[in-house]
Amino acid sequence: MGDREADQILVERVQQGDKQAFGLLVSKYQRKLVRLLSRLVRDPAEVEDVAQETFIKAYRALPGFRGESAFYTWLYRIGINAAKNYLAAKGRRTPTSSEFDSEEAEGFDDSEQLRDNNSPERILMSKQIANTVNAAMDRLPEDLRNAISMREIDGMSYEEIAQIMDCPIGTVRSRIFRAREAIAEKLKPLLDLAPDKRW
Amino acid sequence: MMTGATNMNIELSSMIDNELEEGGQQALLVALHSEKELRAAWDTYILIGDSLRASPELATDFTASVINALRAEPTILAIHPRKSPPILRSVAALAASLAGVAVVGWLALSPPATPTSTPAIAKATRPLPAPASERMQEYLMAHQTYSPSSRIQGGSSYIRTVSGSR
Repeated sequence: MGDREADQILVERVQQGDKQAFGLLVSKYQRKLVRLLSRLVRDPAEVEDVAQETFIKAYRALPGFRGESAFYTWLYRIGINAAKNYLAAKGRRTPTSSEFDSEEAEGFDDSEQLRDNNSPERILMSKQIANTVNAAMDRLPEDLRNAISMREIDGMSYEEIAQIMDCPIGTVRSRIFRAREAIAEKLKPLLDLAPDKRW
Repeated sequence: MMTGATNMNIELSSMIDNELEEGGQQALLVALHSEKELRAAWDTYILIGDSLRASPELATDFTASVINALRAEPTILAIHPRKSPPILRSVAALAASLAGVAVVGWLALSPPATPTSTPAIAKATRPLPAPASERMQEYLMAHQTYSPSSRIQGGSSYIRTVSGSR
């Protein structure tokens, strides 16, 4: 099962009245969408407003979504339109369509520029999360670290990882879960600082 | 020994990796709908993945805000029939074709219905009714043309009854 099929199951769940399932999609794509929108809207606070508006517009339009395209591609189009409308309402220049539509949604990296634009608090929080995750990764047993790296960084399937690690798929499943739990445990104090983030 | 919550989290971890079967996914979605802790685990696992992929926006987390905003929105109820997998559609098409061929074949090859105990045609013992008068024939023909019981609407004017042709 790929991302598209997995997202479609969540979409159908939302279409059956489950708003929490939409939260899973928001959680999954919010950072990716913010990265994309920050190319259009430079102020990070405004980017987040447009990103939230994008998700709400997407929710309202969801009854008409029939899965002809991937959910994220569809969301991306709504986001670009929301950003353009936002800039037009503010009387700012809207980038031409060729500046956006010609590039693939995933194929860019402007993280340094984003760091420069973010508020000090947000930069600090992002750095703390990144440092905690990296430190937790370093402390993981090698088989757990390799398993989660192959999955999250290289995007390998469990079957591919099982072949490389020469172990059953069930072992891969368990190693990735244990790695996530170990890292989550280290992140807990950091994330518990924001109880309003729970939904 | 693994607890129920741990089992659920293993499934959640698999679901994030798209490595959970659809049946298991549906059951887990039911649990995710009601269990806040499970949703928090989802958020954290997603955050870990974003962090390992060096996403710069790790401080971004507005899921709660969006969900709060959606509380004011009407609940969506738009169930689209799921497309069956191509293999199922092919099998269904093949089955329909075979059924069609079977019906046509059965109709074509089955012997004509010859009742074994054909009732003997009753000999006309009674005298045939006297031919209707010429005027009555015209009346009947005109009536049939507009009669709704006639299968050939408007065509009966071209049909001559046996008695009419005599």
